[in-house]
Amino acid sequence: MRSRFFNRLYLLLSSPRLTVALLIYATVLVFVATLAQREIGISAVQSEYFESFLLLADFGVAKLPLPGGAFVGIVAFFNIFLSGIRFSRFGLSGLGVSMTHMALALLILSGALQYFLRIEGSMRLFPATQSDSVVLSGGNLENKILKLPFTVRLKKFTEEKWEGSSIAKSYSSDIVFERGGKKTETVVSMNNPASYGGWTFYQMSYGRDGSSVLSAVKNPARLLPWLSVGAAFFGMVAVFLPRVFSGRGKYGK
Amino acid sequence: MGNNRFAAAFAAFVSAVAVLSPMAVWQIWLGDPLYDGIFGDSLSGLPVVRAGRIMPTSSAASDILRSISGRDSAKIGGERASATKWLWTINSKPEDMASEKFFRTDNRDLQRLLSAKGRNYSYDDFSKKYEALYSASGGDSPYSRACGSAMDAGLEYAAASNAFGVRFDGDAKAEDSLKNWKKAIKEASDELEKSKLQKREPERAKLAAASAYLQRLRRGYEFESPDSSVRTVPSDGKFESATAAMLDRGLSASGERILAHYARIRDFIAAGDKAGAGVELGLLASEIKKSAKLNMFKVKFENFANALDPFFGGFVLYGFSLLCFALSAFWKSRSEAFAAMAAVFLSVAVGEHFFGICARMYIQMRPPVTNLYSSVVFTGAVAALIGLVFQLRRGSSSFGISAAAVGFLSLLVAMNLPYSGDTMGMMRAVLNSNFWLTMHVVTIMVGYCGLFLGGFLAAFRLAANPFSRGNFGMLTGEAARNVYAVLCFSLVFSFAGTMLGGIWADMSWGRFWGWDPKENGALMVVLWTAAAIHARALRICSDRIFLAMAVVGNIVGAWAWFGVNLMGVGLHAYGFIEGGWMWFIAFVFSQLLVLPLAFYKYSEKKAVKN
Repeated sequence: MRSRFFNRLYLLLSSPRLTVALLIYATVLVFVATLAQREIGISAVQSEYFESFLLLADFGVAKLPLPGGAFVGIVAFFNIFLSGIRFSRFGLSGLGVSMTHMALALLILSGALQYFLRIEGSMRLFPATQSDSVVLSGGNLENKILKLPFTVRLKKFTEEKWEGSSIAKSYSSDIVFERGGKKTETVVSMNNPASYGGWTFYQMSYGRDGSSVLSAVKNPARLLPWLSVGAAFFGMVAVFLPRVFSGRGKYGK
Repeated sequence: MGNNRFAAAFAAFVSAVAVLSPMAVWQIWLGDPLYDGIFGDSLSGLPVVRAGRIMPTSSAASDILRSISGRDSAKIGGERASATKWLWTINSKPEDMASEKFFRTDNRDLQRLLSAKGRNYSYDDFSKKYEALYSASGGDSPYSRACGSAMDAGLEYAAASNAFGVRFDGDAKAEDSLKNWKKAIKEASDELEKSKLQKREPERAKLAAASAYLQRLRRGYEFESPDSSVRTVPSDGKFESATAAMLDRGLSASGERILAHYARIRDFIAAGDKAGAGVELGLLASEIKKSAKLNMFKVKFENFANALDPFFGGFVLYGFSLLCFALSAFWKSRSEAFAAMAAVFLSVAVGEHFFGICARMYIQMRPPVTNLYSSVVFTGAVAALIGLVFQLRRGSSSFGISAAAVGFLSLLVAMNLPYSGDTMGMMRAVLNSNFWLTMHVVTIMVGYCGLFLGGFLAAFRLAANPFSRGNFGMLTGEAARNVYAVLCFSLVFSFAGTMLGGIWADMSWGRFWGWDPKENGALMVVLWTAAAIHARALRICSDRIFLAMAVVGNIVGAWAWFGVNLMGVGLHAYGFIEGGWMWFIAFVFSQLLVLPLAFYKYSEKKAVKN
């Protein structure tokens, strides 16, 4: 009896129809959530639609309960994993398919890890003063202040413009990290962050008073998405590239 | 066979004419060598700076003209004139031009306020209603937005009409104004010095002229916004607007000379003396070449590219190609000849399309995709190229038709995007040159073009099914195989592009994914393409339903690309499009119309009976 239940659950969770249904539903969910961003903003949508198991979507005329992003992610994780066990094939193409799908399962997992492990905040630095406090943002940590085990000092903030226009070309902050008397100098500019003591600092914005705003992120699972995305890509290439060169498979099955 | 060769040669000849026609029309017929020449010295080829970039006068002039009238050329006294000629005419004859209806608005209420005839109104109409416009602008209704853009256009016109020098009220010539201004300054500073030495108050009368001129110049200078003013005078390695150059006490000697040349050309044109203007132009050009260290070839090349107008030529050729494909489908006895012509047109169109993109890349020194306009142009080109390659290799005209349709549509959309896209201005700091960003944008655009190519192939097949008398099942099956191949290609690129976007965002903002609307759009494309591919690969749906899913892919793609911008929230909203909703909804509706055809029941028997 029990084994039949698990067998059915296994067949359900690994079914191709579930795969397609999940993909279509995910498209719809992202669409509905994007529309909702107009009303309630990006961060509220993130927690209500994508990081939740169940949500109440407001369609104007009626409210409808829908499975949220976390739910879809978990089901998709099992669907990918169990389909892999059930359908995986050998050969280069089969290997590519398995690799892509396992990497996608890892991508979902790393999304969950980011949710639990990642801390983000911002730091406003005034010229020639130092600071060690980060104003956190996101979820229930919003506006809490975290003390860093080191200090950051702004030496200079520079802004550069394109000739003959008011469009910013680049802005950058010369900063100094200091921990226990040991100093490290570095420059943070747009698209060029700096890392120190497990934290990464990004040039975010600036004030008219010459202050510079950096965003500070601590993310132990940072490399996981990079890895899984790369693996998924190479998996796909392994699936599709041979078909381009072999005459038969070129136009599908 | 011989017939086809003749047809292809004929098509090649027609293509050459189509490619050269925009340039030939202006060089031979409408244009004026003083303004529009592209090989020798002409006013259109003089370097100026606008929106942070050195460009020929023709680019700056058509930029301004398009932002106030939405067109590339203007009618002056009933005669068509190029943008360069227009700019010089509003400079040299400001009084006559003030009543010409150069400006355009589509807002009905604004047309009524300005008592415009149709959509067009003049600078006089604008300045009479200045107060009313000023108080109405700044709100969020369509009317007040229209008033706001009318204000911008009016101020831009006012600044542009002093681009090559300032003529004070009461002076007959711009050159006199330059001299009077210098004289007044000298008089005033002498008086100030003298009064200092003699320890007395300076005589007001001797300062009056200078201070009046100064006020006039200052006011003109305030009209110039840093992002849109035309800077014509090179001095010490940078460009200044004519007004700023006159105010600049430290202007270099060559800057002074250039300013004087410009003023004299302006006077010659005002007096109708073209020969004099030509001689003065030669002196000015050599002075600029000597003093400003510029890549003059690049400026000349851009002027040439403006005259060639490659996207317009490509647009026309895509149209010819579509026409020939249609003829080849219906005119059975000449089918092959028309197909050969269509292929030639398509090849030349794709070539010219890519030439235009490469020219932009060279001029801007930037990757091919930098804004909405260039993303549309680039995607159309890549999609058309892929379609063309498949067409030539497989000889299946449905690829050719889709390629021509995608190329045609992309250039049509690009030409009709509300003006702002084609300034080729400089990018903001966040988007400033970055390897990952370039990779992200280009890859994702290649992915989108696969999506649209597949979508159009599918839509074509579904729409053609009721008309085809033949083997529906086989045709649909073949189309589904082709669409599947294109969508697989699209998935690889849109997935890679979306994820490169994540990597870029992680590197520059510290987050891999932020659920920004544009990111969501890209994710929707990936998810939907994956859904369609899985539905077919796992044999869940029939060929027709798969084609229908590919058509829905068109809608998802359009949403990700344009719809998201229409929403106007988030970091990626690089252009809110007034009235763009209508076109977006029309496109979605057209795709929805095709969908029920997926349920059109065909049977082999019926086909045989017919």
